[in-house]
Amino acid sequence: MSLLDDLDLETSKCISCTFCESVCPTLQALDYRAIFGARGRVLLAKELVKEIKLNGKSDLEISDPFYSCLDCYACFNVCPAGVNAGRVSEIAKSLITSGKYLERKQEKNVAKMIIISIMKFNSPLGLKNETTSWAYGLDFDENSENLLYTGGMYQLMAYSSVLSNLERKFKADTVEKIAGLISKYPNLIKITHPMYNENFKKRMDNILKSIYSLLKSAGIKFKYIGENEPYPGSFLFELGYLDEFIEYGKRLRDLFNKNKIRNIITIDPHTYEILKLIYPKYIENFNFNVTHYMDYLEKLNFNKTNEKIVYHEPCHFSMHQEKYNEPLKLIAKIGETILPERHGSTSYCCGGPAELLYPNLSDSISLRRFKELKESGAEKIVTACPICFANLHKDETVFDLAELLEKRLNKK
Amino acid sequence: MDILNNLREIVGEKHVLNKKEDLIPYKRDASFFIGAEPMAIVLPGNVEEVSRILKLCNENLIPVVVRGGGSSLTGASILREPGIVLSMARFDKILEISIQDRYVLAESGVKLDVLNAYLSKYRHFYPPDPASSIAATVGGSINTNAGGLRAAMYGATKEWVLGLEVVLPDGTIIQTGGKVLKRSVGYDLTALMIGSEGTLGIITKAILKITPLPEKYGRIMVYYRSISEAGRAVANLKNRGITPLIAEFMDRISMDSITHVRGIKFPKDAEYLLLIDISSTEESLNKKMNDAIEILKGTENIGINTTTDQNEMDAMYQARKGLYSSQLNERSSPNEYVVIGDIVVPTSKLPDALEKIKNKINDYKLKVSLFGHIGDGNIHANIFADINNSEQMEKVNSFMMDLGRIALEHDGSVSSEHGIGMEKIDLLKEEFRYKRSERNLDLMIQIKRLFDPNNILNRGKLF
Repeated sequence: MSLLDDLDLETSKCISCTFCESVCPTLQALDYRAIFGARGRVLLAKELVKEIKLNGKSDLEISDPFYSCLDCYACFNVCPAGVNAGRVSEIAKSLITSGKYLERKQEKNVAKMIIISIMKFNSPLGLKNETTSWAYGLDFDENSENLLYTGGMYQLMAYSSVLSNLERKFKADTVEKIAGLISKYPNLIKITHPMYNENFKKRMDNILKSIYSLLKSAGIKFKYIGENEPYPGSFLFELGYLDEFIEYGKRLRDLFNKNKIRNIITIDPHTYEILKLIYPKYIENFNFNVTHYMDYLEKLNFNKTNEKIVYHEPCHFSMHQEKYNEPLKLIAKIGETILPERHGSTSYCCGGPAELLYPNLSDSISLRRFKELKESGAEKIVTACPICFANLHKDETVFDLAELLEKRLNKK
Repeated sequence: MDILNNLREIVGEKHVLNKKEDLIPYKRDASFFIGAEPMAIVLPGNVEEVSRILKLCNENLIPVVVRGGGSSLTGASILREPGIVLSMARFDKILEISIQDRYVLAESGVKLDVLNAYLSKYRHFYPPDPASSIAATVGGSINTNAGGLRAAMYGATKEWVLGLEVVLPDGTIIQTGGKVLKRSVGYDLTALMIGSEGTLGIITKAILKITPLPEKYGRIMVYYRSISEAGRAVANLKNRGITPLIAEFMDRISMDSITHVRGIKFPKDAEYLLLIDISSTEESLNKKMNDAIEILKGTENIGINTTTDQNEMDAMYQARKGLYSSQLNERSSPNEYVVIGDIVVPTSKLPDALEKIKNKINDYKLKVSLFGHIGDGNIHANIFADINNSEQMEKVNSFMMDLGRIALEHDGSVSSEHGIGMEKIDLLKEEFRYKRSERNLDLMIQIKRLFDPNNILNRGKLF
């Protein structure tokens, strides 16, 4: 099916009931401008399909409405007709990047810069050795068929936050120009590396060490491929670069095969979802057993306290296809679980996915979510995703679940 | 373009939208109509801005349509001719609550589900509960006198509005009603605004009555082969003194659409489902449920299920609320839309009215799904039709008129809770003609002229 048919099919079921608009985080954050809400995006896509079918191309300006979608799928979870406005944005972004359907180029240079970097360096920001510091001195089992696959996701946060801070300081046009230049000369991306947030990097490294320690305590043997470990590729899919996504997926498949991997232990929701559910749809023989590190912690004993812990569920664990509830089971073993007013299939995004393209939008949404979590009255806020953690980490009460689990681990 | 500059001066640059892309979503609401191209979308942030916008538009004779959640089913929130769309989205604050005095003061753009989530912290709620409550706003639901699922027990919006802040077309700001349950001060302007569909003024704030949440409720689902028998079940319950919290019915098409979208399954041989919620205190719920079940057993049903499981009840409740939208999956071609019928009859007349509607559907050979808030006699007849096929639409309009006449012949009304908008202008006239009260329409037109002499507000709706 062509992208256009795909978009037509997804949007044709929409009756414009506006249910999705009510839960879309970007609508309120962008002053209720309807094309920055789920319903507006679907109607814009419908018009886009109509124009392209009529004229072969469209002159609609669609870039910001679709790129600003967080891909949280809150819209899909309330749509009575089963329309996925998040998916609509994904397809629309693919239309943009295909370059075939629009009168003028509307690809975002920041997106292109990230994609070029992934394809060239296996990392959105061209990181390599920087992602392995957490593992110095740790023992891995090089003969294991289990791979601990960090995907560099936790490590990326200390660097991406610097980049988004720079973006906040400049006008959007300037940022686009700089990104355009880096796209042309990809090695320039490495200029940002020394500016990383050192404290945050230490914190993220410690979270990774906690995950390592939890798995070891559970008796799991696994290998880690260090500086050869590539980024999982989520951006390629989410930003609409389907051809590159497929090419990259094959690269990952071959790498895993070369390292004789059968079981991939992921540690974040984005990687878990893309490896488990999305690559197998697009790539032949992507046949790996994909698990999450929390799957292995069931038999561990933890010291439980009366502390109230509110859990911010990552969208890819609660509102996407896979509902992953292990974090909730584990929180119940260490404290009293509190769920925020918006949770489960009606949860609320942390704003993180917009951080690199729309940092101010990201700030607005994460602040709103942070306030909601604080209002729960819990003593600690916990999440299980590096992007959520990086965006919600606004005071000392916010933790990654791995940190708390390791601290409360009863090693006797 | 001077007008746009003036509007920008009032609300700020970013709250006036006039790019081609920005206008697209405002040409649609939840009805099948496509509105006229707006000159601009204006998003005011306070009542003074609304006042200045209306004054400006009134002086320049610019049509204005007010938009809440945009969930109108009759085209009430889209333009019929070029003008501006006044979005109340930024009026999203809950300002005051008094449990002792049983009211909440909210801005008109607050969504009903958001309001009720807030009130639930106080163990209270605002009962009007249109199926679109996730999207519908305080202002929009007042403008259509929305009813919804809980109207079986609590009545429609008009029972729950104590007072309003309204901006008139000349920019005057008025307060109607107040924070008391009773008042006797001449004409009830609050009541006049309810159901006025944005034709008289712009509602900016509302004082709404609230009530404690039901302590507990349980659900009974009864399946039927005969539509009139489902209607009789409701009549029997009410005759025996049982007022359900909600009483909904749906036909096979409705059940199938829920199965397709939500995965909830229903007995294969069931043609109709009656869904009844009974509320009570913790101690007496079982007795009340059993009383209702005994009455329902006396009807020719093919199965009765009960539950008090909250998750199960919530899932079905949400499925029922999204029923209109999920029915789009039951279309036989992508060109088909769903045209919604919305009539009401006294519950005592339901068995006969439903039978006559069923026969009428057979006469017309249309694909129609029947469902509705049967507890208050409200029947929705959703017609699947290609709105670009004039021959088919003629048939649909004729069926809608006949549906309205059935309601009138059974002492009911052509519009129960969706309002008139663009869709039911002829039906409104028919209702007054049937009741030999054509003068009602004259009075309405004169009231409209008094409030809005230049006819800028929601022009082309109601009449």
